[in-house]
Amino acid sequence: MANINESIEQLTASLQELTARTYGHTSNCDAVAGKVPANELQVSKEVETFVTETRAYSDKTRKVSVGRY
Amino acid sequence: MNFRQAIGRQVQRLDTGIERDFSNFLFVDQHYGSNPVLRRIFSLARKHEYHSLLTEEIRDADCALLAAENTALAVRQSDFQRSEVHRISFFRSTTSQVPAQSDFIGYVIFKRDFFTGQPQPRVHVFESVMPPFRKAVDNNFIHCQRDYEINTSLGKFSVTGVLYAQQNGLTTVCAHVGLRTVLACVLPEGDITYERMNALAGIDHKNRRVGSGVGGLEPAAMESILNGLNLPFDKVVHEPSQQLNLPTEYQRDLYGCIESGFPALVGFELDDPAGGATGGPRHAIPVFGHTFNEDTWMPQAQRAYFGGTQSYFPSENWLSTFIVHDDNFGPYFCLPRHFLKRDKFRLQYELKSCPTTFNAMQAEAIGFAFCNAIVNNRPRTGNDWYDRFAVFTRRGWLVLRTILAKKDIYLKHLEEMRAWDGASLEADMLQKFRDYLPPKFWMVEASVPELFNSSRRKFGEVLLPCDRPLPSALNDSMLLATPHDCRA
Repeated sequence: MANINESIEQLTASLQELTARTYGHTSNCDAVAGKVPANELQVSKEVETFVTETRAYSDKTRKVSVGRY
Repeated sequence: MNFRQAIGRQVQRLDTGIERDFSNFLFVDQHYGSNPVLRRIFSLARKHEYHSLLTEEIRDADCALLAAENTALAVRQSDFQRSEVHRISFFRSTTSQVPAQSDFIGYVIFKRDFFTGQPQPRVHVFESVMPPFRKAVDNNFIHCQRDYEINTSLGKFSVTGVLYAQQNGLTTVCAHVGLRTVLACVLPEGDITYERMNALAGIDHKNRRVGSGVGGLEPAAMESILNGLNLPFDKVVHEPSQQLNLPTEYQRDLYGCIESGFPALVGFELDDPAGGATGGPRHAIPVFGHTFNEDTWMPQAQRAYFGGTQSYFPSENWLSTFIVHDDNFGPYFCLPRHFLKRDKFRLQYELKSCPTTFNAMQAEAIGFAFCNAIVNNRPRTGNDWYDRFAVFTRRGWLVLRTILAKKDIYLKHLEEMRAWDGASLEADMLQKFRDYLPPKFWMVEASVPELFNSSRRKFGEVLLPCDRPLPSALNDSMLLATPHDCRA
């Protein structure tokens, strides 16, 4: 129970903090367009490993033909 | 000439309303040998409030497909004599009314094959198209239904649904009929003959046979059919006896395929204590839709109480069942999520609109990584919805939904999209998408539980190329369409 309570409390606290600090919105895309440069968008090592490993398994089983249906 | 277009010779026209004491059970018992699949189809007709049926006989001379089927049977079994085929059409109107298109529900082709020395014919439902009873408004989603026209002696009618077929166990097996359903969902003509499938698989019924006494189709033969039709697909294999243990959950991949509007064929092993080291017999079924439960407890409970470790909620968590046909039982059954567990799962072919360098699950992981990267680079903007996106991302409460999107459909979505203040996406921004989007790409929607399961609104979408080996963002300005605003 500790973990989930902690997770909910963290989310709630962050949203409350947000509510205290931020307000307003705009429908203009230019306000945030291109604010994150593409070269700063890198996948994590964990994701890279996941993609590599699952792709390797797919490659390994590509020619496998077991059983009859 | 197929069974839908063939001229039928009217056998009977019957009123079938419950108020007239018509019994589906008695009718199927008396005329169709208590066939359980037919009983299921009649049951669907009842749910669609049918009030009459039309039975027509289809003869070899009027139907080239029937003649070809019988020729294949004669090659396979020298004692094959003849067949009898009935086309049964279901109507909402009574026999005293001239049926309109709105009265037509669907049809079924019932085939009896007679063999020398066998007192009873072998029977099966050669095909049927019935509309699914439940619709999107009931949280039932079938994205790959097709329209079929049927030429009856009462006129031409059309039905929209997913084609169902049953094996005859001699020239066709479960893989044939499952693949036929899958292929019917994607081929321009909306169907394929077994003659063509067998030709592609190298089954000639003499040197290479299937069915009774021989066994089913091998995966390699199924792939010959898919490759012979130039259809892109992903293959998922779990064969513990070969030390091939699937590292992921096959249902996540299956959901990605279904949500992208494509069908899949799923193969599994049956319980068989006598199976030995080679395992039990196997069966394959087509999967083409899913149901959804907006209020499911599972996503958050799984993580909170049972050790879930994911950094986000896959939208697949809200899936209740997959919608399938099973040739043993009939059309439109719901397969509960996680009922068919990995220990029984063996094989999956997921069709897709184009070859991709990574699958839906991998695309989703990459999409989440980019959401994280965006938030890490820009934790706050002072815009309330962006900042909520950042909070939900960092705290692991995002809901991600991944589909292989098509440019024209996506552009239409952008054009129609409105912020809560009524604002649409700026014309110059829309033009950028028109100019730079490839024809197909992965779209990873980012939402939160309280949006996803109610208004279907979202924070935004991460678009990823589907044809590049290295995961990277499609461009340097990710689309971020918030419930209040549009952001790019």
